[in-house]
Amino acid sequence: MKLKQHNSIVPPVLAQRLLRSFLRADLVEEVEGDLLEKFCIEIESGSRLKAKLNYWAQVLKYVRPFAIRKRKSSLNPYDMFENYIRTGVRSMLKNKTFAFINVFGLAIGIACCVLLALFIQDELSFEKHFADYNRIYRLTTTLNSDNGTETRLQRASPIIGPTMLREFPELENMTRVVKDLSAPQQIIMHADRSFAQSRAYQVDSTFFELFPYQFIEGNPQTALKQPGSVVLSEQLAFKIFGNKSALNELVTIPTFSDSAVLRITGVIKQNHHQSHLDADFYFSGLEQTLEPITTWASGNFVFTYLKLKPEANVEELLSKFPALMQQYGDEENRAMGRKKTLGLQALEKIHLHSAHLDNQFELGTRGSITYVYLAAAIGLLILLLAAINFINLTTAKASQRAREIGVRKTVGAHRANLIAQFMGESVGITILAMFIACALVYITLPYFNQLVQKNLFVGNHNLAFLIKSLLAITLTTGLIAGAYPALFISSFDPVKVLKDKHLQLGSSHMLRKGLIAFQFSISVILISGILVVQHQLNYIQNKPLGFDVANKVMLPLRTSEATSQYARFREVVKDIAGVNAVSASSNLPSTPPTSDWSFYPADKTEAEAVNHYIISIDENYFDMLSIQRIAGRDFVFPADGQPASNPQKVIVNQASLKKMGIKPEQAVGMRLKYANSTNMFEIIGVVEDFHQFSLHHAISPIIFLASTDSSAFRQMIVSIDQKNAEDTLTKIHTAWEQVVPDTPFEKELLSESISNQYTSDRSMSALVLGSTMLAVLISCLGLYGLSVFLAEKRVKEIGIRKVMGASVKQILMMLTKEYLKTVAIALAIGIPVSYYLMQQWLQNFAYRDNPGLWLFVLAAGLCILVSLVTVLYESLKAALTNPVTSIKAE
Amino acid sequence: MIETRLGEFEEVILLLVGILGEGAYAYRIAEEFKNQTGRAISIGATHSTLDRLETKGFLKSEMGSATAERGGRRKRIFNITALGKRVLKESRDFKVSLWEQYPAFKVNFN
Repeated sequence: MKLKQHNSIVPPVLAQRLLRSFLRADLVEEVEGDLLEKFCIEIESGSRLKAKLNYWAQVLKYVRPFAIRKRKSSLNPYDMFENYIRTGVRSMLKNKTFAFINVFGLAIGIACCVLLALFIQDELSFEKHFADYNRIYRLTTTLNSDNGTETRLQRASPIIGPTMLREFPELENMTRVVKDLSAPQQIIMHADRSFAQSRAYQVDSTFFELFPYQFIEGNPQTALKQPGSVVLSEQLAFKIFGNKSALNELVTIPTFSDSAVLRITGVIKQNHHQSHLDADFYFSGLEQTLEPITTWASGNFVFTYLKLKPEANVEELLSKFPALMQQYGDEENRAMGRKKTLGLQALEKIHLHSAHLDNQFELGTRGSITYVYLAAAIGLLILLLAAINFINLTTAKASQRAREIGVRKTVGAHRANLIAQFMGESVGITILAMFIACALVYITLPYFNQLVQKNLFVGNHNLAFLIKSLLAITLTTGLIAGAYPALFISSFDPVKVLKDKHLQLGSSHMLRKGLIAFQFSISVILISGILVVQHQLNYIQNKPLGFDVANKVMLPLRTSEATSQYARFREVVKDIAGVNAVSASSNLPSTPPTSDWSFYPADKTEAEAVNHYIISIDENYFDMLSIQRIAGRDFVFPADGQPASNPQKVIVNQASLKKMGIKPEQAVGMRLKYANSTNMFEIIGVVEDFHQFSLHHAISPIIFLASTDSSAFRQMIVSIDQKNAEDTLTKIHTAWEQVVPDTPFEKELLSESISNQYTSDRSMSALVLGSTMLAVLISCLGLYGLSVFLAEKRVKEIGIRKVMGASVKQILMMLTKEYLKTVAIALAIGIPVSYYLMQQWLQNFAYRDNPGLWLFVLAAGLCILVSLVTVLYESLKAALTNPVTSIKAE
Repeated sequence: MIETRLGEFEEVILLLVGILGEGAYAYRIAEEFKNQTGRAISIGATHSTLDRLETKGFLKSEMGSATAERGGRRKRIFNITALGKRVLKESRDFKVSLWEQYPAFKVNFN
């Protein structure tokens, strides 16, 4: 009776298992016996729960050095290492296809990761080299007009910076930067040679105090103290002066002033550091230029940088801004019908985190944090796909090494030894891949630079980073890719693997399928992604813009010489054979706007003012661009272009009428006003809407003025015959040099200028295309490897099936059905995700063509096709093999 | 190097092994310790000490018989070795000699 009772008493199974997991084998019997005896006594004397708890406590108290199983390590591990390496190399040589897929796939993955890491590091490095960069902020302005539109600018009115420096004790220093908003390029002249530079800024004398650039000539402390000083970049100095010293040479900047002679007081050393303020030259005298401008409401064209004292608190400083604005600018802002709020943007955030701010006049080229995330995601994805291949192929091939495991275990290898062996093997393979990746990076870096429009290179500044990231990427990949196979392989039971020749490895089969499904969902996401991007870019390229782009040449009028000679030059060009028409504008389509103002109908109030871009145009403008008129008449020159005329005659676009609530038929003769002015404007005509700006933006209201004063024009536009176009252009060039000798001749096709608006979209498209191709390639490599393996494994089965009368078709069906099922699951997951992601991207465009379902069906079809082709090759080979050879082979 | 000194706890365990004779295995010793001293002690701790005493050469052990309470598992029976006995005796003699040198108790001993 008592005996029976004891037998039914079972101590906690988990605790027992724990005990066995660490206890020395020779102690197990006696200890379990002792503990069981104790357990029985406890149960008899008290509650079951107490007995169980006590058992657990007893087990835990056996965790003592004497009782824990010890690992015997070999006295000479090097022999074993040698053996590991030898077997590893042998198994790779035995399966060359697999080894190639593993190493090559991983190499591509690592190379991608390294390239993108370089890109990301470069993007993140902006501004960080300036001393105290974390104390420097840029002043931002938010304008809220009464009709609800909000404009966020990265600029401010000129007077705000100096006033803040005077009134806020938190500030240590301040500097301002102005870029001529209307001139995309500045021209610098030295001894009759002129150089057009796109990055040239007028700055305060304190500029180099906030931004300590290194000088190779001159003194940064004093370089800008005198008005009429100019500091050049090393590149520009070399371009102008060669190896001679540039210091104290005299130059003129005709785009800034015709008469002023400036003295070079410094040359900035060129290095790999980057800032959005990098420029070709800086010139002084901004304090004097800006002094007369005392408005607190408008004139938001000055980039203002504030440096805080080390102990200052940003939040506190920000809280003082509204009061300051209230004190000085309230009246003016109210008169303009808008609210103005000042803010701060940290210097280090300017490059990547400026998407919320107006981009029309940004200094330097903006990066985008979204791009950085996208790059990181793509790099990791591709590496992940390669790692998945590794996991799949290694577990699939595991049965081939099962006997090795069996023998190792029999002669005394611990599981830990085997795990170490296989992890080591995968890390070894990854290191091999790393070396190939280095070569790949070296070869592809120039192309990658083109793709991301950067000038990345490996040098002293990033060598340490490169080596660190290379090692980190390699080791992590090796460990992640190796972990599962190592655990899986080392778990084989030696008795089973030595007895059976082929194992049925069921559990890894599901995992492999899952991983393939994952790979293909990534592929289908990327494939449909690239289709949608291309679709949208095509749509943009082919969308009617509302004007005629063909055969138009833009000639920028950069200097006052060029604008003043415009009328004469126009007459000369008109007479050139092959020229159809000539006109000019302050702001051709695809060029940045030069000015804007809020207008409202004369019979309404200022509160209903609508912001308009103002474009001054010359004769023939609408005709030559084929912009359709829907009401009224065109300008008559020179009568409509007299600046003094009141009311001044204007033409507006449809968007303007819609915003102001005027019906097109009532528009002609309507009078417009703008704030604080008695000037009246009379609408004489309405033109159809056209895309003045890129399709990222909705069409905004525009008001056109006729101008007889050519100083208003920034670009000239010439319509030429397609026949002998080259010839005609050469003639125009010659004429330019005669009429406008001191200004360099530049030309750009209108179509090119328009397509340049989408450069960043195209580079994103190229990035996605590249990564799609790599991802699909890697996924296919993996699938191919698996299909080779499975076909090999079933070679006898196929032979027997054929002998029994199966047709090639049936065998093919049998072999490919499996994969197709997996791919179908992948599609079911991938397509919705892709649809969502692409909708997000399309939000960037004001004009978009929503991709139809067919695009995604196409992506799915491509995916199935690619996987089918991959699998079919091996399957077909297996199905066509003569059964005699396959059955005979052992 | 093997430590040959005898700790206080070790001495008690060693004595208990002697007292229990043929029934000296870890669980019994732990129970006996509790009976004699009133202090509870885990089987693991006892076992650890027994193991140490065996390494020092004061104990030897062999697997004994299996009983039903133990689920048919055998127990390890410990025996004091000649060395163990000598160490116990030396320890007692040493303490007695110390007691004898203690004047306050000397009278009572006599």
